Amino acid sequence: MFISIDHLGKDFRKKPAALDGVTLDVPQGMTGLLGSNGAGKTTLMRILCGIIRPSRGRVLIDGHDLADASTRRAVKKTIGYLPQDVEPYPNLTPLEFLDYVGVLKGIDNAAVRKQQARELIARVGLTDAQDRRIGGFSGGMRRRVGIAQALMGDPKLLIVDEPTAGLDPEERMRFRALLASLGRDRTVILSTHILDDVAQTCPYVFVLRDGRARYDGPTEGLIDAARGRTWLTAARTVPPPEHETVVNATTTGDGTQYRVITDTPPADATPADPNLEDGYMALALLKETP
Amino acid sequence: MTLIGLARTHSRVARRQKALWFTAIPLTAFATLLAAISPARPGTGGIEDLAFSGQIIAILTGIAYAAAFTDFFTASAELGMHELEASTPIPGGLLRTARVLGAFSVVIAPAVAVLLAMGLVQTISGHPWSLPGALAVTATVVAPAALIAMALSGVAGALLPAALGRIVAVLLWFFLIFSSSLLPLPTPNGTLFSVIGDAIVTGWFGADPMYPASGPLAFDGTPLGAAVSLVLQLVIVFALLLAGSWLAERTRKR
Repeated sequence: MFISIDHLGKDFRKKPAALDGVTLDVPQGMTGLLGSNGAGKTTLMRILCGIIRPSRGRVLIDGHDLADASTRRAVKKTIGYLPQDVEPYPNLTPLEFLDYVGVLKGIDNAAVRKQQARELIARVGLTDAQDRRIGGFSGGMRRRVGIAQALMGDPKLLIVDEPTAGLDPEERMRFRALLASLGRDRTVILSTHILDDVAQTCPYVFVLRDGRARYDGPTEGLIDAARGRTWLTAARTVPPPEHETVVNATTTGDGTQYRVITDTPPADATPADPNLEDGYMALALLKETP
Repeated sequence: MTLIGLARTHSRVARRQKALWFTAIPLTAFATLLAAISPARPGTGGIEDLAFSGQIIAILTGIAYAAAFTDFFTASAELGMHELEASTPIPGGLLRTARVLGAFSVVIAPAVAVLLAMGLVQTISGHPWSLPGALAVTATVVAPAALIAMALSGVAGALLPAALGRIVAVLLWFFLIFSSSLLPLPTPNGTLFSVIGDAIVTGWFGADPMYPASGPLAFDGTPLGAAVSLVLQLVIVFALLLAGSWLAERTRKR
């Protein structure tokens, strides 16, 4: 599934534009969607899911305009969406909840729905709890139910908002592997603040800031934004000056060693190989420098 | 099929609300007892007794439903489920209908059980039309009242914090079902707008009303008057459901 977003804008009453002139082509496979809180990520995902309409611009999915009601309905059948803050109905069991989502997605055959629900529950490791009510689940287990529901109906486009929030490290790794396997034959948009998840799974990344597109390209390209600007200082007892943006800090016996992004190499620093965090911060700095 | 499938899930969600049963079952039992021993009971052993019981059940179980459904319009938004539901191809209207049908199938169940049991006893005692009569009373007296109580609760919950909404909805229900000279306000009792089915039991089942007809919109005890009253109640239900949906949507967007 190929998504083409053209000069997309969204205004909410009495607020600055949530999205402003966003143009982007989302290829098949996994795309990471990055940005600070309020950058417009959720608004973009809600538009792609057909939940809200854009104020300007258009979205084409496999060449069909999402502004058309029949296209929107057809596209919705092929979308799996995991919103950031969703709590499945607590009075239902995972099996019942997934069956409900199956009905919502237009899977009319009850046997097919049940079969899919069982398979997905097994895939997210909840088979032992499939007949227990969701209300008694931990946050991580509920998130796994949410992930399973997004996969009901074998969606061709999967949009997941902070899917690993609340998951323990083991669950996170398992989910990352699951997403990566899904990204082989479909389009997956992964919005997250956990840059490591994007670095590990997404060959393509899109960065939003204040409703505008700031980067759109290969993940390696974003990392390159920090190449030659990432430094590891010697252990210091005083914090770095303002022009050095701290990405990370490690306390040692002699003081604190900082990983910084700056165009002016600190005297006591050695160059470091950049990672996605460095690239993201370097990009943010570029925006702040007119 | 989709509507039934969705309604089945929402019925399950409503059925598993413990608080609903903690209030609805004792109130239904109390209503049944009251209907059996009340000196006001017609005592004909026929449809009039069923109508009387239906009215008592409607009055008392309405208290439970007014208290229990304050999150009817807001629950899916509070859980974030509305986002997920809105991302599916199911039209919002169909989903709302399913939600109402699902909850309604639960709230009507105690009345159906009690009235059918009474109808069965009456049938055995020689009243062959009592079973269909029980269903008719359920559909025309208890069902509209239960729907009004439920929708009223939902509207109060969409406007106010849940706990306050619960209190306000129950007080409003009391206002709708009781007449008291202490409260100098006109009530729907005695009129075609009566939510306890006075116009219907007099017009269709030949029973005595709980409150005598009064005021410019007084019911006249005719079948036509009963039909008009039923339609008016359904219009009230529809209006409350629309208002509740609109209020919940407005609150969500704020």
